[in-house]
Amino acid sequence: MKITAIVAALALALALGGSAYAQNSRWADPYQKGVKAFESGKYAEAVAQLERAVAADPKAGPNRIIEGVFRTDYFPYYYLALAYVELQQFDKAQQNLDKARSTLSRQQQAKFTDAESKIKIALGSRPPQRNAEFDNGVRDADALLSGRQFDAAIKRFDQLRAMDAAEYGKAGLAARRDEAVKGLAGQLTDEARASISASRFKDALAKLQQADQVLPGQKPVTDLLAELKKREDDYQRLKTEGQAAFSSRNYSSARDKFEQARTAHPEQFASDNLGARLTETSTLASTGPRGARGGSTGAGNANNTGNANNTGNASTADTVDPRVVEGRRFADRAKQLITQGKYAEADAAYASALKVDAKNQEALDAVEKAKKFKGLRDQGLQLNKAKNAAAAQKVLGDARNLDAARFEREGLTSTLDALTKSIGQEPSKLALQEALLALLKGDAQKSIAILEPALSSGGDRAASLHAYLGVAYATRSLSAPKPDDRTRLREKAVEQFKLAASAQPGYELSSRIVSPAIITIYNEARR
Amino acid sequence: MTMFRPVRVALSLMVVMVSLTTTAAAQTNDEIFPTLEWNFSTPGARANGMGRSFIGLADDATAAITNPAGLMNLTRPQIYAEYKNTRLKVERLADISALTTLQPTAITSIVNALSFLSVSAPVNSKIAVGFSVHRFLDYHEVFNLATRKIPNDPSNTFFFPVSGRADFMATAFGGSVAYMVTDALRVGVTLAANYFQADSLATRTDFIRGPNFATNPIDFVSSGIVANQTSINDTQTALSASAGALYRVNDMVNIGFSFEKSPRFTTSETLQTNPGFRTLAQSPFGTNQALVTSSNFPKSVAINVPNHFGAGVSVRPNAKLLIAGDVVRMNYSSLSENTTLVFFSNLTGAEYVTPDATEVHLGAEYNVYNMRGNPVFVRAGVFTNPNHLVSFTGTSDPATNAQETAKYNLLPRKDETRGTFGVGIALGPRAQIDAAYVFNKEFVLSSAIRF
Repeated sequence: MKITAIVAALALALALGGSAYAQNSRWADPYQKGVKAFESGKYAEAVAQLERAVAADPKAGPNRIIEGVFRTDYFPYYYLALAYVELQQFDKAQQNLDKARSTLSRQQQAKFTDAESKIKIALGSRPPQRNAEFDNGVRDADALLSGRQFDAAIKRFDQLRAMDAAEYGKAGLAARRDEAVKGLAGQLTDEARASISASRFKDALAKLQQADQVLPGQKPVTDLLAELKKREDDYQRLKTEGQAAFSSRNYSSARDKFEQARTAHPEQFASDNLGARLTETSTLASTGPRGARGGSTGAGNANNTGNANNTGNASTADTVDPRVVEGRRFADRAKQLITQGKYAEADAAYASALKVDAKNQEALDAVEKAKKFKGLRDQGLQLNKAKNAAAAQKVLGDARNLDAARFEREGLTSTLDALTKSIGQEPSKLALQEALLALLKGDAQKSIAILEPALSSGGDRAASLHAYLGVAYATRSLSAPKPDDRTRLREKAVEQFKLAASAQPGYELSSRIVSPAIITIYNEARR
Repeated sequence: MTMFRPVRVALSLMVVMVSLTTTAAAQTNDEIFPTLEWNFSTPGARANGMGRSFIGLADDATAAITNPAGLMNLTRPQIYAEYKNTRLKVERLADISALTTLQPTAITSIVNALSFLSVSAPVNSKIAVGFSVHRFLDYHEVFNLATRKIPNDPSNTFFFPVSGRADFMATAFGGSVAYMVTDALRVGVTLAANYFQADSLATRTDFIRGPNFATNPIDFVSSGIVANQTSINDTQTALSASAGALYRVNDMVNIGFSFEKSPRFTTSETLQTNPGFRTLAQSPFGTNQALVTSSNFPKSVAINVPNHFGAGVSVRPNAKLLIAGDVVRMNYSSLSENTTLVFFSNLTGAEYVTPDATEVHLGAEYNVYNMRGNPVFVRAGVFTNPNHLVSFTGTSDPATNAQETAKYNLLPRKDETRGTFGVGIALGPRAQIDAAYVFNKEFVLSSAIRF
């Protein structure tokens, strides 16, 4: 029993001692087959066998023990290097050559000098080739990146990383992937901006959310998301106010609120099916009370005039205020005057509108805007007179930002340009900056208003001014609801693009801020 | 757990083998066996050159015998053969006055044999197999014992002069399987059918006064008249098994274990007497007649080949030098368990004992030179062989006690230490030739051909 216990203990100790150093002569057979295959010119088979040998024992060296008294030189890396050269996999050949060099003795290194030279010659005479599939993948990814197919480029880069992480890092593909990510985020932002211009807010929201996922925390994205939020909030507020006005039979106000709500968020307006309500409200506002619609009883509204149809046993509560109608008429007139550049008359028309209908929102907004513009204008001019150029330039710049068309119409552009120059700035550069800012905020019309007057002072920046004016037109073209408008605006865009190309051949739009669709128009225009 | 199934199987086999015991009678108390030392040499000139150290190395085809796990070291199919020239030297107290002077007479015989042959091959990266033929007993002796006065015998008796011979041969035909449990651990098992041939004859004759009796009162010589004769003439087969394990501790060190459950043969011995013995009143006092088998004969005789368990270690301090050492525990006591009583039926058989022994083997191999790319090795070693002759423990009968004590206990007993030396060469990747010399004992030549 004592012997049994000893034997059992020894056997158990052996069985449990499984983490021993893994070495044996299992390398010998694949190594010898590999060498044989190499000598027969079967290089692929040689590589397979030699790699097996290396996997079994990576420690190369001379006079290695196979079994008992049998020894052999074990130089798998040397043969692998040669085989890889034959297979034209030079990078692997080089790797194995390096390993072989370190394991050979001086005497043996001398012996293998010829072979080493052979590899060097091979490496020198043939361009190093990496994994063909990987290289093709890199080319694909780069093509997709330069073609602004950012999403596909990102996916391709990810595939390359999975394929060979080391080579991915070595080739600096991470930076190119980051570039694609930024490009995709910018592209999505541009598309969102275009959607906003086209009043496709839901689409814009989806694009912006996607952009935020791709590259979180981008300021243009958060700004646009805030803008969409404000639009949504405005819409909800206007809708609530419109419905309240409707309920209180203040149809004129209800109509205005509903119209403003439609302007603020057309998609949601349509989704909420408020179009019919607006039509109804507008009709009621313009036609006054009409026939009984329900079972309410009692006398009609004391304010009702005309079209009373109290023939039944009840009268309607729906009425239209003629002052609202008149107010709208004045407002419409004012808008017409603005298109003609008659701002003073337009201001007067809006004032008249407010006199008859103090709640005319359009007139309220227009009067407020005109008041603010005139305040800035007058302040700027006074500052200019007082030789305070910097302050004047800033205030007038604000005035132009508030109403660029009126600013230009009133001949203030030259004043601002002079001020800008006097304080060491370039008007064209400033205009370009502000126009781009307007573009980024989705206000293509404002961008046009800034850039058109700036063309005269373009100078070295003529190409940029024309190009981004073209971008502004193109942006409007893409979001214009009517086909005629789209065509007209696109023609204007093409015209500006041609001027840009003419001013500076080879001029390129920044893919970071311009959508691919507009770049396509630009590329077509300059051909 | 599946991975360790071979270990469990090997362990179970070893435990079963260790736990098996026998109560059969073993050897006999005639004149053949007291000097019969069973010596188990390690096959292979390489191992012999290294002091028979091989359990912790076991890296050639002889591993089938020494440690079957070592077959996993083979990388190619191969044939291995060993030729052995053994000088068998048996010392007996054969001379007329030897029981008094205790001066032994050396009886020497030379045995030439193809003592080991194997065919072995790796099957795959996990399994290797081998078939081997191993002559593990090759004992031949011809002896003559003079008429010797038995010291301390109260009846003043003499041993009959004996003329004897013994030829014992045992050969194992084994099949081996080795399995790689992990990269570091290998196990192996050898199962063998053992063929035993025994042919012995001991003839005791009557004695008469010799020519110098007048001056030497113990000078008696054989009369030529047979007193009795014992003989064994038989062949037997029996199974044996051995198991081993090799564990690679690191790049430099291997340790190994092996256990052999040796075969147990059952043969028989006959005692015949001469009806004409001392039937005359004058010299030669009888006639030789046809011998008659005594009653109760033939008697069953168990030959319990000793089991042994060993552990070894091999160390490669560098690519050229190999050092190995084994410790082997030999269960020699089984040889004399319940000895068959040919003479002195008043005994029980338990009065004969053989001590177990622990052998130590040490050796080294050095790659001294590479002759045209063929490595040449020199080897040297030493091993111990503690005395394991049978002893008689005594009995209450003075005459029996004196006779058996004289027969068994007066023989010189020495713990033997022998040096070994060897050379070898590997001829390319296909062949190796090794030679070894065990001082004053054995010359071994072996060769392996790899395919």
